Amino acid sequence: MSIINIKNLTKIYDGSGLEVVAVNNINLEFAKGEFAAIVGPSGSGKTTLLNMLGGLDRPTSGEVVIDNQNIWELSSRKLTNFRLKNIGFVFQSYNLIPVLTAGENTEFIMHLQGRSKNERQNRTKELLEAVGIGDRLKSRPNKLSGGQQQRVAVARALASKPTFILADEPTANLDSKSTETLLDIMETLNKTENITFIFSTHDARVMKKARRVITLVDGKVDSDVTK
Amino acid sequence: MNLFKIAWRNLWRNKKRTLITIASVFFGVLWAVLLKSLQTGSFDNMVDNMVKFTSGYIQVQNIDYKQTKSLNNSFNPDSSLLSLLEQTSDVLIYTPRLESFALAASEEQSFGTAVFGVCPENEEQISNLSQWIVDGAYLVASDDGIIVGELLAKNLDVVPGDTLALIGQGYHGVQAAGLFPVRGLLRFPIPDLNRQILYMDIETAQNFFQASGLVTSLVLMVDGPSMVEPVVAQLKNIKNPEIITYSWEELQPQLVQLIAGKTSSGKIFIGILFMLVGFGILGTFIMMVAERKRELGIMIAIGMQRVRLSAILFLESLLIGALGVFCSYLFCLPFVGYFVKNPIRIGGEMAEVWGDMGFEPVIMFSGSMEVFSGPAVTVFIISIIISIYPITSVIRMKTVNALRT
Repeated sequence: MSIINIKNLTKIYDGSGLEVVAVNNINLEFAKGEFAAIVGPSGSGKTTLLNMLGGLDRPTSGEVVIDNQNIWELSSRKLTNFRLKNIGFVFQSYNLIPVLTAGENTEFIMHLQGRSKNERQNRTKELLEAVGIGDRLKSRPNKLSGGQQQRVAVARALASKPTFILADEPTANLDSKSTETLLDIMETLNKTENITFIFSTHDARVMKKARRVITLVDGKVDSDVTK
Repeated sequence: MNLFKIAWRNLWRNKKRTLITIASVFFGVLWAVLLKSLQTGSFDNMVDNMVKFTSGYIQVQNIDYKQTKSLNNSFNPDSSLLSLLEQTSDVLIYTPRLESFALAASEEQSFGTAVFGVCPENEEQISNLSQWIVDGAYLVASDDGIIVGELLAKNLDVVPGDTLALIGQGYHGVQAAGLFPVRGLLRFPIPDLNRQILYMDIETAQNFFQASGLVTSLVLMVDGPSMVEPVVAQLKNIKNPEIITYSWEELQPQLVQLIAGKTSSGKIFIGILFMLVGFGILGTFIMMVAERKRELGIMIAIGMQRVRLSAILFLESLLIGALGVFCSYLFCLPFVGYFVKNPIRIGGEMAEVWGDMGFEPVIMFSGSMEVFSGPAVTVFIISIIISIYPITSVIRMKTVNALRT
């Protein structure tokens, strides 16, 4: 049963009278527990698709239905709340909050959800240990390597117990070893906790790990292969 | 991890910039407090001097006396009026005065002078006149002598023990003349007064001016300027149509105007100062928002409501202002406190210049609440106004654009 249903999704950028069709009438479904990669050349619409899927960029037309809710029918406030409860984000440049420690970055999202201090602290510890940096709980992002920061970002994305996680080029700034470790962590979490991961990536190692690979070309689905 | 903690840490991401911004608030508040303290202290002192030496806080007069300061416009304070004053609890004390002018003559010289007939005991409690005696003695009740301003005595070449002849016009134009032994010399802090004033017992003055039982004013003292208005309001109920009650502000309109003028120019200066401070803080926030645009976008993306994010930025703005004010007060409080207790006395020629202008040659500071609260409130308002910029930036921010920066 699908948890995400993308229907006739289109995004057209209109700059100086020149229309650019970034995403062109895409239809996709994602089931619970998928480990999917959206691939394609630069400008193929991967990030735009992910942004619309994550409720960050309003589509020109079409629907993004998550758990039977077309998220683009929600008000800005409700959409933010929806993201908080249902979507985890992992960004290419980690994008941790620099003034918060690794632990606080992970805890932050649970704080926004209004969870109890005890629950927050226990889950933070548990998550950071799961991503292999339980000992860096009190380190600020600038004291962590790129790989470690991305692992904190994964822990943060998981902290809210989301329906799915969107990861936009999560390994783009990482070395091979960090990439391998991160992918292993995400794959393990996907299998053990049945969390849905959707990546946009250029990285062959991610494509290799993914159990479904969707290829975009010029804003359209060129292929959709489940391994 | 509350919003305050995040705001506090955000402030120190760029320590130098934050410290420079705080310094601008610090100096703005510092100058504002010092200027206000100096102005308020000086004006309070001016009012205090003028109130004590001349008008008192409140005066009851004949209805025409203010217009034409003549003995013919004096009045006889009847028992009902005196009883009302006795019953008015906020009136600390009152004293009768009979004021007029006379020509004072010694053996060689003569000078015009203001003559104050006063009740020595009550006047002492209001003006503390005896403290200004520099030679000789203060008046006693029913004294037939006079005390004279030091410069007037010097001009007339008299000392305590000598006698002055006073010639003037009494009540209803009768001739007033008499000889008065000089009991003491007065040196007021306002040199102008020393040149043109002498005091005698009110009964002696009434006899001299042949104005038996008459006074030109009843001078009332209350517990500070704030009590003036309510007491004046109470005394407006006096049923006698011949008499009227004035506050010191009505009696000293020039002083009120002078203070208002100086206060306005001070406000303009402080306004410009705070405008500069405000632009300094605004500049910092424009930079902060530009630098953190992506981060703000991330926070919205992961689910932080814009209102909460705005609250962080609002707190940051308030914190910068509050820190500047706090540091400034740390410096100002002991500084102002010292000068409140130790006013700066001006000496030499400058003192004479001040004296000639009618000011006591002393720089006074005030440590009143108003001195410190004004700049703090102003910075608070500036911080609120400035926070509009980052808040509107967040509210209008397009998340996806912010993520691309």
